[in-house]
Amino acid sequence: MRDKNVFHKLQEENELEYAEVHNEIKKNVKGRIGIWAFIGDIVDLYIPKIFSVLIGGRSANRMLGLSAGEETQADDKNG
Amino acid sequence: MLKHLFTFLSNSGRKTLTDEEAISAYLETQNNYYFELLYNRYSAKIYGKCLTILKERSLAQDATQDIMMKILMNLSKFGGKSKFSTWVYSITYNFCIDFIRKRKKDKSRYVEDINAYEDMADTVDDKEILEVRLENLKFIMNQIPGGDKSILMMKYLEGMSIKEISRVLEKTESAIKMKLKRAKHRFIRIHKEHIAETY
Repeated sequence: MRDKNVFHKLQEENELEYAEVHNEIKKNVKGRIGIWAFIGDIVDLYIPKIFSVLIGGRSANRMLGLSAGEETQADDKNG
Repeated sequence: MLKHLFTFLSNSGRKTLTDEEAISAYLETQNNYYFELLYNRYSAKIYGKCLTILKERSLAQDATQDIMMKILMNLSKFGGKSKFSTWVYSITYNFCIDFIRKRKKDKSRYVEDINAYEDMADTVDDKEILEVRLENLKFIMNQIPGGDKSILMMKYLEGMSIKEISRVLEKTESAIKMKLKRAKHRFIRIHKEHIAETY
């Protein structure tokens, strides 16, 4: 076991002071974790929906594009 | 409430988890119980170091919160190459050094002091530093710049080697040797001045 030097003693003294601010720090950290968790939940909930809307919109456009092409081909055949 | 009770019951019979076990359990389950375990182990130590380097309680308090959040956000990046405590303390020291760097006053004082110590020749014995009384150490640590404090703490508090310090601060070993030498000289100079003024 390493002997305690004067730097360790200073550190121990400072750590004792932590007891005075412990609750406040813990409360703030928990609050921030809560906010991040909330943002995470929102992202989890809405990102897949946004993607499905985007993908749905894109495939709808494609289908419209395809039918327009088909219409043109049909017009050419008929002369 | 029920969620916390369930977590408590499921963990109450378990042996004390190591840091690494707690990290992998947190990453697997995202259960805050495991992060709280790490928080309870390290927050006081982080606060103690921040208080020595930043001097003010309110700054140390804010820094401890920010560092704990940084640890949480980067937990998945901890590769296990070093001990978890070393990783935590390297985040702590780097955070404090960056914080101080942002304060212009401290930076300009640091530059002046470096110029004043360019011609130092002899080395300072570790024993001379470690034999300083606690009251005097407090005084000295309040006088020297944060960068010096951090490097002295890494050496004498954490017992890190030059190689380890260079890895933490991302500097070359020769740069760290020079920084340490300057910090030791400054430490001894302030100590001598303080002793002369006091007695």
